[in-house]
Amino acid sequence: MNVFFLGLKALWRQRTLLLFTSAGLAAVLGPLLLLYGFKFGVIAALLADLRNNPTNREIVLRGNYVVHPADIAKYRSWKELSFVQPETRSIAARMELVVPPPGKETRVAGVLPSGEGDPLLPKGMVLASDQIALSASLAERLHVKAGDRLLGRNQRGVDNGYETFEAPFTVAYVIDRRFAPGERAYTTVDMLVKLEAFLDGYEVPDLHLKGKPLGERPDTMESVRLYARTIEDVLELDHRFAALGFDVYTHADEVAGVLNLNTNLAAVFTLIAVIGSLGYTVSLAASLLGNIAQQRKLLSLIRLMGAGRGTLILFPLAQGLAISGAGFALSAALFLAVARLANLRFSGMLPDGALVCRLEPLQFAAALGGTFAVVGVVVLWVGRTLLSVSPAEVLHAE
Amino acid sequence: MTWLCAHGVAQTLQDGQRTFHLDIAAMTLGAGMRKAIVGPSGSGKTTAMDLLALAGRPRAAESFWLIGEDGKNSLDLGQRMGRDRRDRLASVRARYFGYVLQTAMLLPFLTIGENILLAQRLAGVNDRDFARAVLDELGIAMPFSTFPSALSVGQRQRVAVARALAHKPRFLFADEPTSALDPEAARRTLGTCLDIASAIGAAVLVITHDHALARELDFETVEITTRTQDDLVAAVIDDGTPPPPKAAA
Repeated sequence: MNVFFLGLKALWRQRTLLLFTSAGLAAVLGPLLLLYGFKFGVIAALLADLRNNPTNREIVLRGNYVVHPADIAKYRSWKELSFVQPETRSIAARMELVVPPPGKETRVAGVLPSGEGDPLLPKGMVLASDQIALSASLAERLHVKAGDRLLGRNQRGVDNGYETFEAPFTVAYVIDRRFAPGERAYTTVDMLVKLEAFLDGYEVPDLHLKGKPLGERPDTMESVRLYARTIEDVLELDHRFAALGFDVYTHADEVAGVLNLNTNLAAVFTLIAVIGSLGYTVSLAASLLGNIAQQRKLLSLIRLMGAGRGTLILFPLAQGLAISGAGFALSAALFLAVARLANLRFSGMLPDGALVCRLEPLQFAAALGGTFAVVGVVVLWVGRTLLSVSPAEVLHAE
Repeated sequence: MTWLCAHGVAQTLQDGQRTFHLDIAAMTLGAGMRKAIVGPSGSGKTTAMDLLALAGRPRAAESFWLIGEDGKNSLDLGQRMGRDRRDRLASVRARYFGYVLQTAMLLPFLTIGENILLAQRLAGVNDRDFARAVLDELGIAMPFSTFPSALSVGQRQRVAVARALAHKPRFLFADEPTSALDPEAARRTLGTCLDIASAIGAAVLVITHDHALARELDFETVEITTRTQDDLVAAVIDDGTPPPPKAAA
């Protein structure tokens, strides 16, 4: 039996001390875990909601601009942007969508460019030139679903009447109402360029329509459809595009609000945790010092019997670890009980039924590590007292 | 045979205006020896025990040796005590020394078996059967799992004696070991203790007021002589033994 187990045995002999000092730790650590659990649960749910909704990462450039291919290439090189697709003129990016047989359902909708990595589409889905994605409202109006076929149409005036642009599409995906409000459709950039060229009077060889040579058409675009890589990148991109002269609209303020809330709550929590930890450090040190003072004669006897000076530190270390381990177990039990009650009662208040109070296993492990770190500090503190325990004390104490 | 030889080992203590100076001029302990330091209260008996039992650090030590079998593996305790940063004397205490105090001082959170085996463990010995035999010899028939709180004062003191001897030390130090017992129990306990010490070849040094008991149990008594001058009390212990010629390292 070494001095470590002696410490445990001595503490077990004083189970009341173990109970009360453990409860003392639980009284500090339990509320801290709950506070952090609530902060983490609520903020994590809000952040998850922000992150899961790609519209929060959208950078909208309002107005008409002249965007060159070099600009597009530059934007694509920015690591903060995850999706960059050039937009044709909005007035030329409209189609009459017709569900066969003709005349069954028809809607005119704005069409936006899609492409690889479109955040509104399922991961990995890339639209082909004969595929189209619809917003939920538009699909509802047209009474179509994924897999249905429809026809995209537009007309231009010519000397002797009208010419019609017609493109057959298969509905590849219906986009969630939260991510694509209103009636919108999404197809390839090539299709939109073709449509714009048609409306501007250029030839459309695919459809055997004659017009001005395509070679004379300028290669500039009116705008760009943009998405930031993360919500944290939105504010920076907002500022960067504004500096380039664009009229920018983003959700940066909402994102910043939640991120700031997270930062501020983390600061408040840290402050409370530091104060609580200091209080507990003093309390645990007082308990261990009291225990050492009470058992000083016995410790001196153990020294006299041949335990080295340094090994005596195992005595309060064992007791500190046992007290903090028991206190942590009590705290965890308190946390789990209260968190369960709170989650049953309040979970409906957060998006997607997220839990209002929760902690990840890693956070529990960090809390346990922090508790043991406090024990380490306390043991080093009280260890100085142990260095003064001389083997001669027990001889003179009688 | 292992010897403990102290010559010119001194300590000075200050208590307010009073200065107490103890000089162990000569003291030698070897296998089978029984010595008793006797003297009045306050004469420095316990301080002498501190120094000889390596519990306290002397102010000076002209010659203080633990001499191993046949003079080999000797340890200059005086030199080691002077700079014992790594507390290496702890292992000497654990291995070579046993202690019996005025009260049993058993660790209350350990059973009597654990109390005894702790001493063995610290000494690097593992002999449960011998520990049991010593307890039986001392008349403690209770199981190892008994807690000290279940024992009488006399039984506790006997367990303390068992703890001091269970690791077969070379030297047994006993400070008024029977002061808490009635005369008959004291005689019986100390007698058994000496029998076991003889059996394992341990030297015994006892501190006592009881000259009669010391004589009865064949102790060589070493009287502390004290001299007072103004605020200085000077005490000397001298058993008349010469210092060792030269300890072999």
